[in-house]
Amino acid sequence: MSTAVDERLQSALGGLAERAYVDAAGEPVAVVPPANLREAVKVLKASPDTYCDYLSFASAQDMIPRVPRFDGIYQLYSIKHHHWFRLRVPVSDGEALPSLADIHKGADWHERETYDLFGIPYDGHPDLRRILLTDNWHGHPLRKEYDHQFEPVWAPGTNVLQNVAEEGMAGHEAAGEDPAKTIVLNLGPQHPATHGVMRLAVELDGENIVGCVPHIGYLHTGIEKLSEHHNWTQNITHYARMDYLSPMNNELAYCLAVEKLLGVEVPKRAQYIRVLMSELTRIISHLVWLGTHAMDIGALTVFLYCFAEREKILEMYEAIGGQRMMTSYIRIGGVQDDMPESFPGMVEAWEKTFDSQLSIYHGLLTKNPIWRQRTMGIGVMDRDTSLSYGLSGPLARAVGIDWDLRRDNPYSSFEEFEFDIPVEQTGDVYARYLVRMEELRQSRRIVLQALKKIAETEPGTYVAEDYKLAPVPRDGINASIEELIHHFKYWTDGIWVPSGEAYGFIEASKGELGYFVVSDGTAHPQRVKIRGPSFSNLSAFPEMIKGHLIADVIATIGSIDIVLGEVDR
Amino acid sequence: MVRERLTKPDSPTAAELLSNPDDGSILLTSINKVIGWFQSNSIWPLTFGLACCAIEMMSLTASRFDLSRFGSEIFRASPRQADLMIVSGRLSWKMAPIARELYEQMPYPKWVIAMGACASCGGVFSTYAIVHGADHILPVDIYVPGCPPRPEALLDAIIKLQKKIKTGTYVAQGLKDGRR
Ligand code: SF4
Repeated sequence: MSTAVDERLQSALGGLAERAYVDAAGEPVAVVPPANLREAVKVLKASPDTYCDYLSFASAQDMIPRVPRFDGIYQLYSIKHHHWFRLRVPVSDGEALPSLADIHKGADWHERETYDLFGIPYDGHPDLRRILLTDNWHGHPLRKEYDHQFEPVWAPGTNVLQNVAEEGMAGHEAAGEDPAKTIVLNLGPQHPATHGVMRLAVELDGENIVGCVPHIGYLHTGIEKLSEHHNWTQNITHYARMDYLSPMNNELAYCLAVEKLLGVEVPKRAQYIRVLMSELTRIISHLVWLGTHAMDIGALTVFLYCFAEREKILEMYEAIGGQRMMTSYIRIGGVQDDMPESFPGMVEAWEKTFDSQLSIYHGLLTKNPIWRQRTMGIGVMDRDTSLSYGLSGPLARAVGIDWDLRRDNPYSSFEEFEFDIPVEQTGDVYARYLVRMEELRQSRRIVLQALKKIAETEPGTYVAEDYKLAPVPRDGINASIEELIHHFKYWTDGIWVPSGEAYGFIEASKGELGYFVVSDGTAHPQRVKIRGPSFSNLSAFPEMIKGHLIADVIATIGSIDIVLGEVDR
Repeated sequence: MVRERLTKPDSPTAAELLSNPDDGSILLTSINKVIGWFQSNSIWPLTFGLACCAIEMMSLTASRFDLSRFGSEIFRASPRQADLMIVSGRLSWKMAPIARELYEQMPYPKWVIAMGACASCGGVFSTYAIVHGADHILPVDIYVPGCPPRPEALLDAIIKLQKKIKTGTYVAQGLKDGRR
C-alpha cells in the first residue's frame, strides 16, 4: 500500500518536491524547498488522489551541524483516504518559513510553538508571539545548544507577572463595534473550571463574548527537550505524566512509534493486553471528564459517582502495573509483565456493574432539562472549521466526521475487534457529551473481547523475545553469562534504535495522539515531537465560544476535555 | 508566677501580655493552643491544581477517601478564603510568580503542602521550565513524597499538619515582621 501512496505523493507534487522517500513505517516523506511549501500543501489538499484536508501538526527539527540548520516538519492526513504524508522543509537559521495559517487554521498555534521553541519565524503569520514560554524568556529550548537544565534568569526589574497583568487581549484589536463598551475579563490560570492552569482573556459586551484569547504554557514542562537526554525506555516515564488522565495511552503511542523504527514484532498477547489497558484508560479519562464537566455546570453528584467508578479501574491499574496512575506498564516490544491471574476476575466483576452505572449517569444528565439547556446549541462548530483546526477524537465525531484511527488505521490488532463508532451531527456541547457517553459503552465491549482473546494466547508471551529490547528474566541472569551480559547492557546502555524517523499514532481518549520520533542510531532520541490532541482542540476554542454568553465558557471548556499537561507539554 | 505579676502594682496588664507573644507567658500559650485547636479542624485548602497530582487530590475529596471526615473538604477557589495551599504538581517558571501572588493573597494564618516529587524537588523533570521544588518560592510546611502520592499519603500530610497547628506554635510571618 505504501508504494501506492508514495506514487500518489510523487504525482501530486510533481516538480514541487526536491526528493521523496519512505520512512521506517513505510510512510511517504517529501522534501520541499520553503518557496514551494504553500503550493505543495495546497496541491495536496486539493488533488483528489491525496486530499490531505487535515494538518496533524507542524513542527521542526534541529539538524545541526547540517546547513541549512533546521527542517520544518508538516504531518498531513487525509480523512477520506486515511493516509499520512510528511513534508520536510529545510530552512537555515534566521530564515523564515511561509505560514500556513490561512490554509489550515490549526497551523496558527503549531507555528507559534515552533517559533517559541526553535526560533524559526513565519512569514505572514497573523499573530507570531511566544506561546509556551513567557515573552521575556531568553533563548529557544529545543535548539541543540540550549542546556536542558538551564535555570531561567530575568534581568532585575523584569515584570514577571507581565503576562497576567498587562497582556490581556495580547494586542488583538477590540472585536466589538464600540471598544468603549467592552471590558476584558481575565479567567485563570488559577480557576476551578479551567481544568488545570489555563488562562483566557475574554472580551465582553455586557454578558456577550465578542473576543477571546487563550494563554497557555503555565504547565510547560520541557518534556520534548528532556526526551533527548534520557534513553528510549526512560522516556516512557515522562510521557505517562504528560496526559495524566490517560497515562497508558501516551505510553502506547510512543512505544508504537519506537517499534516502527526497530521493526519489532509484538506478540499477540501483548497486543491484546495493550488494547485492554488502552480501553480501560479511555474509560477512566472519560470518567474524569464527565465528573468534572458535570461539576462545572453544577451537577456535583455526577462527580462523586464517576470518581467512585474510576477507583475500581485504578485498582486494576495497581494490580497490573503496581501503581495507581503512573505505571509505565507498556514498554517497547510489549508490556512490562504478564497479566496477573486474578486480573480477568477483577475486570469481570467491574464490568457487570458498569452498564448500570452508565444508566445512572444517563438518568442524571441526558434528559435533565437544566443539562440540556446548558449544553444544547452551545459551542457549536461546523465540519469545515473543525477540520481546518485539526480537531480530532470525540470533538470531530460530534460534527459528523466519521473518523476513528482504531478502525481506519488500525494498530495493535484493533482490526480484530468489533465496536461501533458513535457520530453526531450537531457539533455542540451536548453532541460531544453523547459521543463520549457512547464511547464508554463501546470501550466496555472492546475490553470484554480483549479478555477473551488474551485467554486464547499463551501465557508468558507478553514481550518480544529479544534481549536487546526487553530485560532478561531474573532466572536467566543466574543461568548463563550471555544473558547476564544482555541484562547489563540493557540497564546501562539502554536500547539502541536504528536511525530513521517514524510516526506512532493512536486514537486516544481525546483524539489523535501522535509521537514523531527521530533516531540518529544511538540510545537517545534525536527529536521527539508530541502531537497532543488537546493542543489542537483548544486552539479552536475562540471560534467555538464566539457569540455566546460568559457562562457558556465553562460548559465549552469542559466539553473540549483538555488536559493542560498535554497542551503545554 | 502569673498571679504574682498580675497582683503587683507595676505588673503588666493582660492586654500588654497578649501584645508580647515572645514573653513565654502561660496565659498566652494556652490561648494559642485553643486557637490552634480550632484552626486545625477547619483547614480550607485552595483549589489549586497544577498537574497529575491534582487528580489524586481530587480523588481525596471524592467518595472513597472523603477528606471531609477530617474537616478539610471545603476547597475554596478564592485565595482570600483559603488557609492551605496544596502545591499539587509540577510548578513551571511561568506559573511561579502567579503561585506566589496567590500565596500572598491568602490571609494569615496559612500553610503550604508540597504534594509529590515535582513540588518537593522537581521530580523526574529536571528541565529548564520547572521550578525544582516549590520551596524556592513558598515556605513549605509538609512535603509528601510520591509520584503521584496516594490519596492516603496526602491525607496523612493533612493530619500531620493538623497536629502541627494544634501545638499552637504558629507565628505568622507577617506578624513577626510587624506587617499585618
Ligand atoms: S510528582 Fe509525579 S504525579 Fe505529581 S505532578 Fe509530578 S510528575 Fe505528576
